[in-house]
Amino acid sequence: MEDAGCLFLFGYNPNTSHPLVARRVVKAKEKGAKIIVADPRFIETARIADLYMPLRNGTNVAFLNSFANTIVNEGLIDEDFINEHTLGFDEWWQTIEKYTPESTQSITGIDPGMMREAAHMYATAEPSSIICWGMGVCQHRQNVEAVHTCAAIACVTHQIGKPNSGVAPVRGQNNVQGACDMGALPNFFPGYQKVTDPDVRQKFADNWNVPVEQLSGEVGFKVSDVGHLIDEGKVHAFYNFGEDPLQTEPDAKHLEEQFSKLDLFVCQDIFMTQSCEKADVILPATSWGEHEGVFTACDRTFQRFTAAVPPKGECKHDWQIICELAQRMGYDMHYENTQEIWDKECREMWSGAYGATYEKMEGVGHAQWPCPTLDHPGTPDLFLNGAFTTPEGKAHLIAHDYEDPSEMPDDEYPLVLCTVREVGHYSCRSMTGNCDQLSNLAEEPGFVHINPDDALKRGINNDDLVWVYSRRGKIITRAFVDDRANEGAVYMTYQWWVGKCNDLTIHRVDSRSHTPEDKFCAVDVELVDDQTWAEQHAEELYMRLKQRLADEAGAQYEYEMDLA
Amino acid sequence: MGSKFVIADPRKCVGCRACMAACLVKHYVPGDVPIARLNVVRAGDRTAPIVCHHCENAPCAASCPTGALYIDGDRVGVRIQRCIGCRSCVVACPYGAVNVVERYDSAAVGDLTVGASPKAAVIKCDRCYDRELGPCCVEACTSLAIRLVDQDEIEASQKKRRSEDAASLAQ
Repeated sequence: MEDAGCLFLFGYNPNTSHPLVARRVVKAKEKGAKIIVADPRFIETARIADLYMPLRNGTNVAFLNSFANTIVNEGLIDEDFINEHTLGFDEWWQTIEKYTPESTQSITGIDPGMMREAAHMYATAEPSSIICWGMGVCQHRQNVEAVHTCAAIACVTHQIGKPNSGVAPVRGQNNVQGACDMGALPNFFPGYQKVTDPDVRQKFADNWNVPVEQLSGEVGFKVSDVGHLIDEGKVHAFYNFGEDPLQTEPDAKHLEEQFSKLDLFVCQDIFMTQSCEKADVILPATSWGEHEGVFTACDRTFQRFTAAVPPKGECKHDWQIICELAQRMGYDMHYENTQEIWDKECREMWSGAYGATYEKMEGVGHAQWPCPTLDHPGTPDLFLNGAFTTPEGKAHLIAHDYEDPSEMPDDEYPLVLCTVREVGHYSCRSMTGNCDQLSNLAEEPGFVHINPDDALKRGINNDDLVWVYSRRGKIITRAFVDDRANEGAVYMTYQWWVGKCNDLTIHRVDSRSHTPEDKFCAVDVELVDDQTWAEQHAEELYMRLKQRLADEAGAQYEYEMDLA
Repeated sequence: MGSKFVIADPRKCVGCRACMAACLVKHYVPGDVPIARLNVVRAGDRTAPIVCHHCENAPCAASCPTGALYIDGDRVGVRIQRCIGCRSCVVACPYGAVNVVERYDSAAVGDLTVGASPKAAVIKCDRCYDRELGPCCVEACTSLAIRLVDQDEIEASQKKRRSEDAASLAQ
């Protein structure tokens, strides 16, 4: 990344989600790379960008189509690469052709001259360009569509298939890549081997010593659909681990009602979260410092990590809990340690990971898949020289027309709410919120970032307590009057328990990946008239929630003491 | 003329607040106040931690009636127990790097903790004078943006700027 000639950050704010990547962006800049940032908000990296493109919220596909259009019309494509290594250019162009920078300006708000400058900067950078995106692409209604277009842009300009180039989609959480690699998806076994493929099913059935009929050939449900599926009577039991969905899933109030209809709700966690509180059974697991295993970074690098301290009390490792559950269900699942799991379930079953041995990952060692043999050095660059992994060996160019987000702002709810991350607190905050030192850096009820003009119109000053409300709910939080927030949009991080933005967000998912549209819904913000009451109210809400969780955890403790 | 202070390069700062966390942890000890002495300001096109410059003619120390802030050789020292909470220093500091906060002092009588009453306490950067490895924020910085600068370094950068200016005049 540091050696690329241009980094195009599209819907990605590394400074809050991955500060160590942010450091690499700074280094790339110091080495002379051009930086383009396209984001509705003036994010940290925008400060050091050569070009900052303030596109309107929710207009990604229109923007990218227009960017692609400019690249073609300015003659910046690599025709040889397109002819030899891609398919479907003419059809792709039929859609892209319509999106000139001039015709899309009214949608995206981007000046055509700026669009041309960006297209030249990206397409002509030496030795290469990288297009990076984050949740600013994935958590929109047209997420897969935007990803298709990003990939097509890299292909038509030949900014892929050579060192320090390509597409860099970062993940929202630590080891999401690893979870996907290991088949924690409804459509894949480990190593992206399809559950719909009978040969693959036979292979896994043999390895697990079960009749092949026991392995479903149908793609399963996605976690983002659990709520709706409970309503439809298709899901009766939910085994949830390592997540606090009542904090992180959209329209959390509604989800709580849906959970209450479950026959069985199991939570496996390390803290008493809001979801654990509703669970019938809690399985106490170990924290990151107590277990060992392998993480995959978003660049496909396997890294081994080891335990710093042994588990406390009756807590068990996730893999031990899963084994014990399997045994109680009548399947003799047994492993001695994580290395045995890694060797038997990953390396032996997935040829691309066979060379990634524990020995290779000893200490600070690593292995980047595909790594098919023991002496294989790993693969830093995919698709070198345009060798794509589709059946034809060529990249498919796909284009889509732009569509508006699901819930556009109107007179009643005139602002766009976009959920974002804050450095220093992780995800649902069950871990960092229980860390005394970190909670001293920032406290409930959290913040809503609002543009100074929008704040002025509502008589809101910095640090005032405000109501934020949508069609789904209403919460109290603190105003952060922020000149980096664009007019017409407000930004909230999803970690706050009192100022919980997911009481406001809309539960609408896209048709392909079923990812919630967390980056766009309509809200309004209003000053709380009585600020003294508001301060007390916010404090009380937080204290009550903490007390409720403490009581729930305490009851558990007393029960165990009784048993002892 | 030899005071050293912590300074950050805003072009390198990524706004991650690791410096604040490190500072807070350093002061997370009995008798101290667990609040970061640096404040990362993120507004407009500026992002950098703001922290005490340990001024040679420190207005905060000059305005302190009790000696809670005092010139200690090449730095402005803090004697938290002497603070009466008058806030003269807060008003005097041109950087907003000094703060008066509540401190909860408690005493132990056997197993019993008594008297957790709030008292005023002045807090500001003590430059980690009691830490062998130097300021913990410098060590914690993820982007190598924070440094401890001294008179020699300031003079060197002055010379560099003068010669750059001379070069531009010559063109």
